[in-house]
Amino acid sequence: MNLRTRLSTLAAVTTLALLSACSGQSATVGGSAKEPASGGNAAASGDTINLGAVIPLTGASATIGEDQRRGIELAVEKINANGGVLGKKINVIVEDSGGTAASALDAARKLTSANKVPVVIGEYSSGVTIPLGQFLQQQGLVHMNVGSSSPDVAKIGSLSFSTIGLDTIASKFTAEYLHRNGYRKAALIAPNNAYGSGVADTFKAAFEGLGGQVTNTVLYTEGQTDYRAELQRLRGGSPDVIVYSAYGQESKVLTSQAFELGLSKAVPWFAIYLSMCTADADPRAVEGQLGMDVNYIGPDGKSYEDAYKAKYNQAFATTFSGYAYDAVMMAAAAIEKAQSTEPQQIAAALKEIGKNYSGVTGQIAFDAQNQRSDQPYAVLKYTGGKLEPAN
Amino acid sequence: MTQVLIDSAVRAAELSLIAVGLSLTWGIVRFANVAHVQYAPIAGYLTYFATISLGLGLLPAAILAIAATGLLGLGLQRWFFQRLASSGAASALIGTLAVSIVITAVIQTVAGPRPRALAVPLTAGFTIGDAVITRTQILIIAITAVTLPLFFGFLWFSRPGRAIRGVAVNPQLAEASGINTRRIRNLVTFIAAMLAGLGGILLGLDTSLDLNMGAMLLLPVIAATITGGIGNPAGAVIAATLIALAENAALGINFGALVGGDAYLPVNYRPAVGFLVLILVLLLRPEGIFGRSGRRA
Repeated sequence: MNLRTRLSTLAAVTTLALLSACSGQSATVGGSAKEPASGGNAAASGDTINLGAVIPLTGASATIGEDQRRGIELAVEKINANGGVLGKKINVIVEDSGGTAASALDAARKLTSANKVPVVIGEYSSGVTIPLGQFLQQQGLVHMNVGSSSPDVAKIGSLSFSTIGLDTIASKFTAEYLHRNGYRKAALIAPNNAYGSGVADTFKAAFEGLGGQVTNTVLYTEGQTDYRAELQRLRGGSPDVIVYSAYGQESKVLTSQAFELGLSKAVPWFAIYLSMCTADADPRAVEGQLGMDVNYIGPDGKSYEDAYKAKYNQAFATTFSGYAYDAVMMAAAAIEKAQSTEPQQIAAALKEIGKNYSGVTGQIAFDAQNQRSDQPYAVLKYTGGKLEPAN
Repeated sequence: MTQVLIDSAVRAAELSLIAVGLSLTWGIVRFANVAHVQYAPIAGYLTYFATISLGLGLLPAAILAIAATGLLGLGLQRWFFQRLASSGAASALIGTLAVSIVITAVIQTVAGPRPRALAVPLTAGFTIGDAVITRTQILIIAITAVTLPLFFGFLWFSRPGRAIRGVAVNPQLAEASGINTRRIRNLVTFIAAMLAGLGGILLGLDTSLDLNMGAMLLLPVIAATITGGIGNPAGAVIAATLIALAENAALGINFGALVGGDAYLPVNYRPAVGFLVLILVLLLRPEGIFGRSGRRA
């Protein structure tokens, strides 16, 4: 081996080390889509009040991000049809997070420095929502979480509000349901991020508190194309139920491979946020699965459901549009109540409104940390390509 | 245990197809073409778009995509890599890295950041003891088991194959004996790109198509190439098999006997196994396990 070959080998290895260190980020270059959610022109602020939203319009959760956008769009239309806010039209500038924290923060910087919005709605994955919320808190802007449920969301700060219940409530619900239905040994698989580890910890605590046993907890690396090794791990300890939670596209790969491995048939699967897990999945791979989910709508949500169906010509694509809808409606109500677009005053008004607000997703009451304190959940079953209430 | 063997066979098949081409071109054009691994996602995505946009069946789409990838590799070699090579191995390597990144960006622009799945019907796998193998995986092993012997038969017994080996061992002597080295280089590039393309399509069938497919392949493929001895494609196949076995065995072995209870290596550590093999080989036998020093004087 001569010197030249040695050098080229050395260079190759160095490059490899560099590449593997940064390969995880290469998907972030992605979306910089700027789509105003409603007809209003973002720049013309004279007779318009602009709010911001950062949601995953591309990436693994794009299906859910699009549904969140629909919720925002419907809320904007409703508010403007009823005469707007403070006599002005309301507009929500929607930015794409691409499902990554780095892109979400870029989008938030653009919203705060270029558009000067007082309120930003977003994101969906807790791993993105938390840095987004922290950035907004530092900037002194109001953050409204409409899709993330990690318990850490509650720690963001005084200007951060959640219209969706956090995992502490969701995991407890799941653990109680499974225990009540005779399951005692559960294996769990969830993404290796703030959301997934939050679910894993809170579920384990709740399930073992009831006398159950968690045989195996697997936290998978996001964005892989192969989860077979992770899935094989779940067999260990012979669980009588597999509890899982995975984002749209990842869930598609995960559930398809579980089907191929025969794991879907061997053990019943229970999804935490079933609509998220089945949104992109192969229908055959998730047929018959049970799962918990946030309710599509609360008792007062019928008119919202009708508006959604009329505009998009389909039933709810996911369960997540309503929380975005409620967030826009609450923000508009808060601006009206405060008679101001100043973030501190909006936050104060939100606290007042959030003592008891009737949203389309049910009653919303904020706790001391501005988090939704109660949340109606449903147990659903996936049959024939649709989610139906399970008994 | 059976599962470890099955998973290793599939992984070895996918890695081998890409590593043989890299080993051969590295030996002949004398620099590491990092962009070589990108032929895998290129062919995968071309297959995807040929099925979606042209409405072709999977097989004609794959053949078309493999041919197109071969031509693309040839074009890149003629108009880009060949010029880079004259500027020295290190610059050439960085140049191919740049090409590799551009390719990923182009795929992202055209196909978007979401993973894409080739249209394979979902079927439950076959059970062998406590292990499972899917129909796609059997297909992957079968196709590789046919392709690689054909490739080596060509390399060892045909006239152009002998010329290729001649150029790899001593280009000056080959030139002096009347071999058109430039044509041989083009031939090698063409074949190597097509093999990598086939590997990418098979990988896409087994899992799904993803932007990062090239980046994820880079480490194990280069590890296999170096371990097998640069310019030694047969060594690359054996090395790819060893790396695949090491990766899967590391995950499949229960270390509980050592520390008590059930103790498995976390799955996220899989890429580290390839690194470990590479570091060990570079330390102990830098010319590769199957390489001969002085061979490429």
